[in-house]
Amino acid sequence: MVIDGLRREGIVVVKMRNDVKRVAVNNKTKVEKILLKIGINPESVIVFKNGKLTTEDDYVEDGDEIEVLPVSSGG
Amino acid sequence: MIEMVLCDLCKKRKAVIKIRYAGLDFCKECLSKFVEQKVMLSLKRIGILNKLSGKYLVIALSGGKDSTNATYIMHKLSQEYDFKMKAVFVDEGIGEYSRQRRAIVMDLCRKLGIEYRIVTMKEEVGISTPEAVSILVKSRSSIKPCSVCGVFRRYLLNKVALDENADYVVTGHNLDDEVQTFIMSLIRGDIRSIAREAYSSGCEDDVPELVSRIKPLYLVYERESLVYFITHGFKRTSLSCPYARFSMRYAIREMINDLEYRRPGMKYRILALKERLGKSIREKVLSNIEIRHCKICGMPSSRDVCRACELKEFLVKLSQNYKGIYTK
Repeated sequence: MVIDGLRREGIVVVKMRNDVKRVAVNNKTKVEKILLKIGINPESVIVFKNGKLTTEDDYVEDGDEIEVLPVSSGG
Repeated sequence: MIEMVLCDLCKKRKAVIKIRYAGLDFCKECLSKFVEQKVMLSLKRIGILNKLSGKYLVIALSGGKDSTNATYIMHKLSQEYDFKMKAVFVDEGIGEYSRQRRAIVMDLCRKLGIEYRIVTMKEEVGISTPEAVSILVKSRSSIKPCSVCGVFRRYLLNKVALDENADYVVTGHNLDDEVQTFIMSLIRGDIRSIAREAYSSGCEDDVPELVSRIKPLYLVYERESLVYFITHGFKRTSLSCPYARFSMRYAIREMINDLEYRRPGMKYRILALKERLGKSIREKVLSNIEIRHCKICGMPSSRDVCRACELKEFLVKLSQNYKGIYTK
């Protein structure tokens, strides 16, 4: 499929506390790359892929769902 | 099909966190061991681990991830090192947030079989955090909610620890908290704070009315603490403190995390600097501070009136200007 004028192989849904984003990905895109793409510092969050806790070294593919949880919620 | 990322230590289980400063991915079991080893290391470094036998510890349990982890790990150690502990929950009266936290604390203590004590800020200090914030907002004061709440919480914890005749107060401060506090002290130019926080425990052995503090998570990154908390299946509240975003800490945290991503291990290096700097200036800065007793409550203080009593008086004055809610 063609997204943003580029050939992409899939879409990943990224859920945040108050927002949901759909990110176009190529085959074997790292979680870290997706976070940086949407302006999230990987150091300030932890990530669940399809409901399971994972590391930003993990890869995603079309149809995966990423949930981002901020490390700090308090003062 | 994408292969799962395996733990770099055991090479068997699925990785759940990347420890960037080590360049390694950890599974939940290896992370758990890693965090608990850090706790042991920080207790050894302050020379307290072998002195715990027969001691009585009061642990500040807020129901958040850090104090929950600290309680859980210290409870595990209490059997091996033969000490007793009691959890203390300070209820700030912040509506549903405090109610949920209180329920979590009670639930955790029952499950672990730990005794607990609940003290409310309204009863003990005479004012809840929302009431104090309301006074500050109406009088357009620049004092931030966390400053008021923090002073009263520390005051209450020490008071309860004295009342319980405890040997130590345990808090859930993690490495990120320590680094942020250090940077905040630098920004404020608060050299006393840097000197006081030189050690991982405020071992005020020379002042009997100040119970020494232990911070078991002193070497644990906040991110590691959260993953430890989640992988151990602890219950958490979905609510955040409504006043946290007004704190200067909030902005500093973002900045430090940004730098940590670019330069992994930077938080460790700042912590090491904080300790070295603190140790080298400690004697010079603190030696000429005379410890007196607060004229109002009798607690030790470097001033005639301690910070908590000063803040209480200040809030009374502010509230009297518009027939406020302060009653005690």
